[in-house]
Amino acid sequence: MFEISNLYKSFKKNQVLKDVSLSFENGIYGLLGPNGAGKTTLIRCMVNLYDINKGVIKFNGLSIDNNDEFLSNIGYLPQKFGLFKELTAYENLKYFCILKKINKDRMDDEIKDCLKAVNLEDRINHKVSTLSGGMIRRLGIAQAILGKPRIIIFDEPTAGLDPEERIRFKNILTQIKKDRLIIISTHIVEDIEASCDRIIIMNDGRVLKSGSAKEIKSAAIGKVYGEKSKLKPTVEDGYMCIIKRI
Amino acid sequence: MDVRLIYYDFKNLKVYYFIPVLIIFLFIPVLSIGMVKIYGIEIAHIMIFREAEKYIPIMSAWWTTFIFREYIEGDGNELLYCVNKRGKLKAFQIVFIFLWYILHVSIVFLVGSIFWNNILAEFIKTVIQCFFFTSSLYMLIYTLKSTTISFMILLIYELFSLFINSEITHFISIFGDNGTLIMNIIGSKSLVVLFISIVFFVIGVYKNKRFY
Repeated sequence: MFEISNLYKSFKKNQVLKDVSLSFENGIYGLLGPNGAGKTTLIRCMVNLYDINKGVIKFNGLSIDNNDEFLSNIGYLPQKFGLFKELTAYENLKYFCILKKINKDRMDDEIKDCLKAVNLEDRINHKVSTLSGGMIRRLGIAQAILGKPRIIIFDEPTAGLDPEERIRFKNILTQIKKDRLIIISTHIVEDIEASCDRIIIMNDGRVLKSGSAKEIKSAAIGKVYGEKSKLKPTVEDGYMCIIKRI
Repeated sequence: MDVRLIYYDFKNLKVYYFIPVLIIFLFIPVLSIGMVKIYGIEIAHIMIFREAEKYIPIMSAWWTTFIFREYIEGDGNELLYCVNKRGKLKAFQIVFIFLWYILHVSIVFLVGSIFWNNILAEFIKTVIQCFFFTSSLYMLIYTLKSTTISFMILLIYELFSLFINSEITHFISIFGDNGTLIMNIIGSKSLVVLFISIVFFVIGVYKNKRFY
């Protein structure tokens, strides 16, 4: 469904992405890597924000470049979200409905459904500036799922959120994951180890490993606690072994 | 590009929206009435336009500055550039905001035309000056990636042009010289200003395309 082949991206002389190739089907994918690994750049290439230097990104077999079908099928939540703070939650989402070219007759229902999905229906007429940080993030999620896109990309969705909001985010994920591809970029292992079907580990602009949580854990067997230890490696152990190339 | 987006852009300004409106429809008329009362309707004519020139052109950059704060510095502004590839170019918004401002200004000039002749020439000169500030701002915000610094640069330029009396400021100033006939200003200076404004606008489009 969504495919990245031999992707290269540089900013002047700084090569940020180096030969990235990935393939996605429906499900939840976790993009894991330390700060500066190239996750945000990869995501910005995926949402057609950056022009790529080399390689191709395809959606349903067609390049995403100027692909209207792709643009209407993608939802994106950037690292920071807090636009139009003087508008109400309803007006804010309506702005994005117009941007996404959602049919005028469907707009109100779409907005109400999305606000309900993120548990903000009682804040529909509240100004964004009066919402808490967690609520603004949930409004961002609502914005991303407007128009029922088939691909949803979250960039560091839980950064700065308290434990309650993190749990709420995981609940929202389970609600919206059906028949969709969801990509979550993060550097926090616990955010994705339970909810993701596959984990992609990136560092220094390259994909180091892609696999299930079990496969990631297996990379640490015998390397962290010793061959004879009864302690079983965690995803975090596997992740550290992969990025440190132990 | 959908006009409804600009409606929400304006709505998001809240009280900031009314600053140019107050200056155009309250400050300038009050100033004009005061001058007419002191100097008489004929003598006040030139003085009113000389004073209006200090406020009307720079105010054309006001709405663009505050609206584009979201587009340039807003948290998650990339959403406004990736939702629709064609929507990446914000030149339409710039032109629409400029025309909306000119519509307001034209009402003042329309009222002025009841009392004075040669208003059309003054209006053309003012529109070109407004376009200069708008296109300069468009170029600056996408070059410097800061709306506040861009507006400050324009403000400093205006203060330099109006209040520093030197060869250089006379040369770089877009404002009318005292004693020069309005038709001469339009025929020479305003045409050059218009050309420079178009060049700035084109640079703005280029920088806008490369913003992300």
